[in-house]
Amino acid sequence: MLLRKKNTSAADKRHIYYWLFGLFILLYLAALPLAVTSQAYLVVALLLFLSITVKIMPSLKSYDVQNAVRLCIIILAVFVTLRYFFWRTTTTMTYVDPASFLAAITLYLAEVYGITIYLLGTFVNAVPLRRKSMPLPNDHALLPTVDILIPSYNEDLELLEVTLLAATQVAYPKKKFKVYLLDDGGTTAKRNDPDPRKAAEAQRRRESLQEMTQRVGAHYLTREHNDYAKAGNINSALNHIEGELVLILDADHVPAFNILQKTVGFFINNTKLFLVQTPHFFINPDPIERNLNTFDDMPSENEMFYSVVQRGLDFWGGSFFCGSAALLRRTCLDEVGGICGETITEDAETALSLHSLGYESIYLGEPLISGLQPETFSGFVMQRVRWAQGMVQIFMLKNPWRLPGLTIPQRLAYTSSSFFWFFPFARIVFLIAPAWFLFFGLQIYDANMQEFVSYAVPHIVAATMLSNALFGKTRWPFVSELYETMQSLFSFVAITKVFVNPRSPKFNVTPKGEKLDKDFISSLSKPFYALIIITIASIVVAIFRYLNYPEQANVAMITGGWAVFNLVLLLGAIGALFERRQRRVTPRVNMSVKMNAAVHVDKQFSACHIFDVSATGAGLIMDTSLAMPPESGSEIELVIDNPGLGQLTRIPCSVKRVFTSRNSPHNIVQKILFRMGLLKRQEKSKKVEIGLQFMPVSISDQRAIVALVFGDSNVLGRNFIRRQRQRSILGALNFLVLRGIKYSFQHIAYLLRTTIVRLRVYRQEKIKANAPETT
Amino acid sequence: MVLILIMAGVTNLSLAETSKIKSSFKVKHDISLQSLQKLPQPIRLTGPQNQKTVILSLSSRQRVSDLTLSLFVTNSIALVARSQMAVSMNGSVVGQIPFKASQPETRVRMTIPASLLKSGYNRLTFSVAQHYSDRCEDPMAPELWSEIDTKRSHLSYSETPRVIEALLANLPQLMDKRLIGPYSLTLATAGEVDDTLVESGGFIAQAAALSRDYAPVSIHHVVAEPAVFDDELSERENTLLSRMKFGNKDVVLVGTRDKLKPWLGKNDYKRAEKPMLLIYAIGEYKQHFLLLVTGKNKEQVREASSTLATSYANLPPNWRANVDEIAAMPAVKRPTLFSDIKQPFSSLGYSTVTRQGLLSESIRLRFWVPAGRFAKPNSELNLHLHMAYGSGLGIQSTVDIYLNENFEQAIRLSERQGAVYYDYRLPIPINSLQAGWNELRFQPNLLPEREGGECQPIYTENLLLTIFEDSFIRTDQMGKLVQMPDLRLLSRTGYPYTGDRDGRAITLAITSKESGNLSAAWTLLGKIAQVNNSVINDLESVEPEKATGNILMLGQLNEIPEFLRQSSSLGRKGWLSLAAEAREQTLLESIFEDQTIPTVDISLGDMLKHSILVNQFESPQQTNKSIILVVSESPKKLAEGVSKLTSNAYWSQLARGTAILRTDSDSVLTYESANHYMVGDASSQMRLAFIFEKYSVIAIIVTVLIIIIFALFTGWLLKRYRMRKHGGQGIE
Repeated sequence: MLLRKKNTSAADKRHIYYWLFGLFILLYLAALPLAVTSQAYLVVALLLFLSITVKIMPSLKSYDVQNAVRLCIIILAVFVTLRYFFWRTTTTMTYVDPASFLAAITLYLAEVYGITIYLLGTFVNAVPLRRKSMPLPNDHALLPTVDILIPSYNEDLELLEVTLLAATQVAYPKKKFKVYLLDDGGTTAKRNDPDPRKAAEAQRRRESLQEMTQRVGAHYLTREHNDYAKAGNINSALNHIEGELVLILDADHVPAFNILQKTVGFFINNTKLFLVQTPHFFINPDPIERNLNTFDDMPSENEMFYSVVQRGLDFWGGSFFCGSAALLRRTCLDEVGGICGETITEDAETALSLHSLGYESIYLGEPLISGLQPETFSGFVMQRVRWAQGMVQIFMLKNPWRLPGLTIPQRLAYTSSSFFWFFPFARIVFLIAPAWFLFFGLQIYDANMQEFVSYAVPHIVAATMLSNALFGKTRWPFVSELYETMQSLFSFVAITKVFVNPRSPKFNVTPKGEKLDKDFISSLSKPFYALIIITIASIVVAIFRYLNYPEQANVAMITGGWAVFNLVLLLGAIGALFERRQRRVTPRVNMSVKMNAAVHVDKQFSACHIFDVSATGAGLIMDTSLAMPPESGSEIELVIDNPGLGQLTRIPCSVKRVFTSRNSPHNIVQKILFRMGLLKRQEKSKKVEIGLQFMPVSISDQRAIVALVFGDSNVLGRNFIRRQRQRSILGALNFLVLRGIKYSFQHIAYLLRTTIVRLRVYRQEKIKANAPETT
Repeated sequence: MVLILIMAGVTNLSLAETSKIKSSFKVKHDISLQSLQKLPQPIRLTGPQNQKTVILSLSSRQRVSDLTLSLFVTNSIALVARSQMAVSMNGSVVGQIPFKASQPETRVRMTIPASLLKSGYNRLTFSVAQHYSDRCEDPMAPELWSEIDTKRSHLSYSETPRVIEALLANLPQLMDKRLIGPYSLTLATAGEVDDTLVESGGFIAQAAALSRDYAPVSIHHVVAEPAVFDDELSERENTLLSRMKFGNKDVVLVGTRDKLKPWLGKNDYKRAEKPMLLIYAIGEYKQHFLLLVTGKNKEQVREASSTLATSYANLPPNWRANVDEIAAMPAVKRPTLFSDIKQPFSSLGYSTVTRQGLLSESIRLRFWVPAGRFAKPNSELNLHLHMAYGSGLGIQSTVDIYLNENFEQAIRLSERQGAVYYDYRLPIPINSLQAGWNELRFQPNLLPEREGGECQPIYTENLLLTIFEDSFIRTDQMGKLVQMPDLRLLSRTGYPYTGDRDGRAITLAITSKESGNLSAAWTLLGKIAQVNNSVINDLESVEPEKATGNILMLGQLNEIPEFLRQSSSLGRKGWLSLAAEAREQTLLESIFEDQTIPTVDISLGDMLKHSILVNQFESPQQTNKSIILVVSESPKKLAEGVSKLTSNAYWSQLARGTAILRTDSDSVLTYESANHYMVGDASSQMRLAFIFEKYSVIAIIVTVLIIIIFALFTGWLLKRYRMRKHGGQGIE
């Protein structure tokens, strides 16, 4: 059953029947009704065993043993959850009155959703597959031809230039690949826009991009109309290109030099392969990370998907196309009529269609592109809403259970990926459910304290432990809850529209590279204010009920605790909705290990290390005992063995700032710590930090810069795993609580401050307006 | 010092017919107060004002005279002279006892006028007024107490029979549950005793037992033979009742009309064409009855018996009736606790109760839990209380909740302004329930805000608590499963264990149809019907070899079929002594034994000379069915033993797998059986849950092992899958 029928031997079938029998026994045990005390003993034993296995898993060396322990952890946690679920279903749903019953059913369905996603998630992530790249043959004649497609709509030209430069210098035989910029901002329709200003803008853009593509050695393609958005753009281009493989890159996804070297090899060995997907590695924080200042301390929210989930999907043959950083076989695309455009998540839809035809996909977990995340929360929400709508469209229009040709694991994998996006319904219910009881006395959960502690609490603990064991390095506990809470209010409306009309959503391009000149409160904050007020009121009512209605003390305590948890999430949300000024124009790439380089000043070379770079400059460290540092404002050359080009390059630069040992930020911090008594000895550093600005004069300089910043996949790989560190459940909760409180208070303080200023202005304007009348 | 107070005269026996009864029929009784209602020893009365009531039941067939109460009272030496105790019978004061500090022990003998007594239940109340000072006093003072020694206090009275007209409708009065002392019914059979007649006797025994409610009935079998008369005239008219030889006993005569012809008139014989019941008064003063249960054939006799059992309280006011003239009796419903439904207290026979004052009495709710529905291990008994309490209660006020006298929870009455709770939820572990009768007791501890003290008045009128009848009880779903053997279940909930009481069959198997065995079987059946509170309709009597289903087997050990003997715990080691068997119990079992295990080896055969043995085991022929084996050395010993066993004092001692009652002992020895089995029609999941509850540690270990094995197997399968699907595609 797990395999295609034709591949399944009698022995396999027998093994699967044994496994199903084992599963039946476990389900049978999970559904066993037990007294509360027996249940308590059982879950204590299971949680104890679970915590031991979680503890020992990371220390295991053998992959197979680690997998076995991992499965043990999964099954233990799932067993505890299933025990909760069966109890919840058979015991806690009692009819009291219509309103209570409706509320109880709603909450129950939200929980059913949560548990379904949880089970699907454990299935998908049971044994994530780790792949390494396939080497290319030495004979270039055997290499397939590749077309690199960069669809564009309205992105900045500077951003596109960087991507084009990187794409045109990937390490692959020059005759074997071509780079195409697919411009949807300069289509005939755009250039003939009824608004002359827009038409002129489109014309200007087209001309500029034509000039740019010519300059960097790429090809410019556009089309008549903007039908089917990105999918239509790519499909239009497919009519003009002939390569055997297609590498699709978003406009802001700058490829590493070896992206083709790492991925093409898979296609040579496997004719059924249609896709090699690689991670989207982002060099800037998303708005929530930036506003809560977690980027340097905590793994990114999207890392879990690219580090674990896609690997898990890959195991089941269900890793799917993510729209960019992916290599596809042209003939396969042609077989389904190019990139599918029935939904607005054309990528997943295309992969689903090709999987259903029996083609295979591979996920290579090495980051080979550097991308940008949306800068503002509204941009972030726009992106996530599109994903949510698209995946719900897939669930409704191309439901994996109705599509022939998929294996059962693939169906489960796609169900997991698409059904996940229904989370707004559940999340909103979880946010407001405590108020149903606390405000209106609705009886939504018929259980006493002992039962709650014996069934619900172990389920929550086991689920959190499992999540931390499987994903802890890539997503800390409660981060999902925070992100889902923040998206749910907006996604809820959007996916409701999809339910009403599944074909209604339109493709919206996610804004990237936005500049934030000053602090401001996101315009999407208002619903969260309302939720915070409701939640705080719920907590107050819970305390009131606890103190004044002894018979309700237990329920008040449970719902009150639940409301407090919701408040923590909402405070985090409010903190993240206070948009910070973005000081740095281009994101900085940490080099992870110091890169040797030299500074060429007045015919003298001084050794230095590069510790970070960006598209506009670099940070160096120089030892002053060996050479004199350049002066601020001086012009120098940075000489470096550029890993992205595999050759020595010289980049003209201007020295923006020199941090001496006294004013170096590192030393300032040292000094403070020393004075506070937290540091025993203050280092007398002889090193200086130098801030350089790149001053490219030729396209080869630009190429060198792009290769230095984005070309080395080793740097990307190191940065990819740099922030992957685990934290305990309580540690993560504490971290989020503190950040949430800190930045939500700043949010509120800013709100009060601006309100007071507005009031003053309003008053002054009123005084001014009244002044002539009084005189 | 002995103080004798005579407050009233002796009862005047005014009824004419009663005066005819010879003084030889007068029986004297002398019983301790403690034995009346299992009263606590002693009765303690505290506070400035308090009272306790003792119920004295009196049958319509009894006429009581010379009723004297000997009371032993001890009072606190702190009490002042105006302290006293008043004794009243049915609300009329029959005596007063002054308390004196100088004479703390008082023995009082008082005569209670017989005119105050009535048939039914009589209330003997002891009320005290206790003071330690003539001025202000603290009503909570610990010195305010007195005690009645219930063991030494006695009621003595004379009893003479009262004649009740011999009508079928009067049978419940004739077999009255309030008849004090053991009640013996002679069951006479005419003709050969076959299985049908055994069944008929069983029904008659059940009718007598059910009429007596909980009071024991001892059935005594005799073979009915017509009297031999001297003169011809009498021979021809031997249907004359005065010439029957049954003596001064209540008798039921059962047999076909042909066999009973000597006792039937011509018309009666003719009417016995159909199943029929007849009753006559017998005895010197017609103070006893003779009930004839007959019909044309054995089946009709069985039908007549069965009708008697099911309609004993609904018989017509005639001395004779065919069964088709008898209307069916409405089924008696016990306030039974069902699972998984909302049961208002009112449906359990409870009416709204308000309690007031400092030392309020408990509020009680009694309900029945069938054995079969007791087994499910899941969850709780949930009380949803609608209750109210008054304002101004002290912060320490509580309602303590007891289930079967085990404290379960307390409700704190902490609202100063009083409160009404419409749905106060209290979960109680279902394991606290016991099969049979259960009692929920709500003990109000209503304390005033002010703690009192000398010259500190306490207002108690506001100390109010009401528990309303629309409060309800809901138990989580319970299965029908019990672990056997457990004779306690036979004692508490009857037989069969998990089935419905009225529809399920019991197979009666008697090794030989000798009178002793029959008497024992019918007595036991009557007792089981009493515990079941319903007639065992599908009673079937067969030879022991042919018995199937739930079997009640009585007889002599050597006549029990070998295969059954081997299946019982008696056959486990042949005829080893029980004592030796008992010594093989585990150390833990022996430490926690509550019964003294005899250490002297005696053979089973020797032991049965002085005992009867009750053994319970699973039927070797059918799973889920039980056999109760009751054996003794001889039929006579068996009848005596069963008669003793079915009396309340011994019956309640039945427990575990094997019970032995020695004729010369006051206690029942019980032994654990090694072979446990389960009875019930629960699902396999329920059975597993039951095992999980019983053996939690092992079950948890097994569960974890299953998870580990499943995980390893899954891992192995996934490894194979990975190698086949992804092998050679760059996997690490």
